[in-house]
Amino acid sequence: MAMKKDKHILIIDDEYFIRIAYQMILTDAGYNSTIVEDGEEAFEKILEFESKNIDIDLILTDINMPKINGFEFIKKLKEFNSKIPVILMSSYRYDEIEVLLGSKFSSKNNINNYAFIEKPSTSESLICCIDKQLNHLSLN
Amino acid sequence: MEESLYPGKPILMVDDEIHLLYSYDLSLGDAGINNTITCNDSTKVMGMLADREFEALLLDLNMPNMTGEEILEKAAQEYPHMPIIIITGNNELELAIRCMKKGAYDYIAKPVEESRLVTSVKKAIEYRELRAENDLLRRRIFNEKLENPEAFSEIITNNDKMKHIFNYMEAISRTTEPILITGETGVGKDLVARALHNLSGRKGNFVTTNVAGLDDQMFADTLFGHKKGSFTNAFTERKGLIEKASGGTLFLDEIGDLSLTSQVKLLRLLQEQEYYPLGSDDPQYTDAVIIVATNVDFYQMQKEGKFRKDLYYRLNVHQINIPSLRERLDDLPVLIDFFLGKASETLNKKKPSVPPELVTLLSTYSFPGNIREMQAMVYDAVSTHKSRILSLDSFKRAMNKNKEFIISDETSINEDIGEAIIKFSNHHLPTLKQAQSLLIREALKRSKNNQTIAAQILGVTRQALSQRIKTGILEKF
Repeated sequence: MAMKKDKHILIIDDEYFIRIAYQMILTDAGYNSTIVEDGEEAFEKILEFESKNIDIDLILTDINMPKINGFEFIKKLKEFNSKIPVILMSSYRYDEIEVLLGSKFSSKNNINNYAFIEKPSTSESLICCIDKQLNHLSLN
Repeated sequence: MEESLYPGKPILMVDDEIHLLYSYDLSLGDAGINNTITCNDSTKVMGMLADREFEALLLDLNMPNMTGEEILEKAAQEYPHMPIIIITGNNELELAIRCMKKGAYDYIAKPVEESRLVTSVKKAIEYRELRAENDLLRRRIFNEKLENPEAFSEIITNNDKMKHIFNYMEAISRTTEPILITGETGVGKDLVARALHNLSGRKGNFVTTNVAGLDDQMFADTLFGHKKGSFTNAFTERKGLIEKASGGTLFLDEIGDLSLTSQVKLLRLLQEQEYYPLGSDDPQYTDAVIIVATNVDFYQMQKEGKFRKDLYYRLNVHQINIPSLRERLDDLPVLIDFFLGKASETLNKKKPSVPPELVTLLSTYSFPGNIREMQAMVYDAVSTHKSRILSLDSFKRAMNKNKEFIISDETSINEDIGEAIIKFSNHHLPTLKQAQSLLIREALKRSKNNQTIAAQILGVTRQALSQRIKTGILEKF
């Protein structure tokens, strides 16, 4: 299993304190992380890392954000043929998301392709989810 | 150097997500608020509140187990003096209003911005301080005894007005808000500032400076210091006075002449507790308490636009007006005695005894220079005195010099001064004889029937006065 400290995670959230908090959690757990405010900045970072030949192993993104929301971000990611796994974080419950964003995203198939965490979550469950995602990939 | 904790009592922050608490803590710490305690278990909060006193409570409403709203209700009831700031999720306006009605002091809706968090906490601290002071003041208004009379030992007085001021000073002594001291020149504003510092119990230094005549650059440089090379002749780093006063008190005397540019800098210092040393882009924070003094009429200046309204408002939170010496003439005996002692010691002479008329004589004088002037007069008298009893001559000379200054000759008495001295009745104007009689009577009253002194007041020789009295000028109305 690859060392944690080689893993790099990108965090997207529009709330300042949430970004800092998540970075703390990930650092405590031994991961490297970068924090950005929105999807636009996220893409800039992805390109930047690519040019430096550094892999981003995972993206942690909030769903409800101004500019582009979490789902739109994932869609764009797919358009770039990116294989980076994404974990969605949401302050809303799963079923509320349907109502908020319309049935387009409600298809269980779509959702199941991405891990989904409801806020508030404990840091343990978050790390657990992250570990699972990363291991899942390395097993492939 | 041990960092002092601010505020005096800790802020309790409650949220189920501990890393969020840490991130709040970092931001508050950056803004100078370092006395904080975090709690991520809502069931423990009431126990913690019972254990010790907190300055304020920061409470997230979205928590499992005991909800934020429940805690709010209980805490607001049991600890009404503690401001409670609640953090609500976005789109929860109704919840926020409900909580405000239940006693929350302020609410912050998510997403929480850094500046909003800091401002809100600072306001809560300020509010709490003012309330505590208010309570203290109310209790003290009826209580005459001072808790720390030694702190006032340098201020010589038996006067009631001064004693009330001392009571007020004790009440506000723990404040972190700025204090404004007003009063004529020479009344002892610096002594009051020093006493306030002693009362505050703060461990830092008492740093004092007179800012009259400092141009903008000197003002900023003196107060905030500069980095090496920040301007020509800045060969080394210089620590500003504000840094020297860290954990203590900074006293700025004569701020009445501050330019508008310097006023802005002072205002930022008072509002944000932050300043920029010359040549630096990084803000520094200070916990020094700031006391300012002036002998100008601030209210008037602020009306005329020479002094910023917002700065005036900020400085006005605590105002101490020190009465002029002529408003506390009952202190003359004890002040004379004190300065006689000091002058004798300095001049290596035996302390002369005081002629009883001295107090009476001096009580007719307006002392434009107040206590400082009086001290100079006593010193002068002691240095020229030869016999066992102090002579009144040097005092009279000093008083006459200034009397000319106030009213030079009769023809130049302008209307304003005239009215201040005498108010003429609308119906009945006295005859010359009557007016003279009135004046003589008043002068005798003020001089306690001492004709020599009365003559002095009226600007005539003793013989001339004596003559008028003998020939029955003092007729009845």
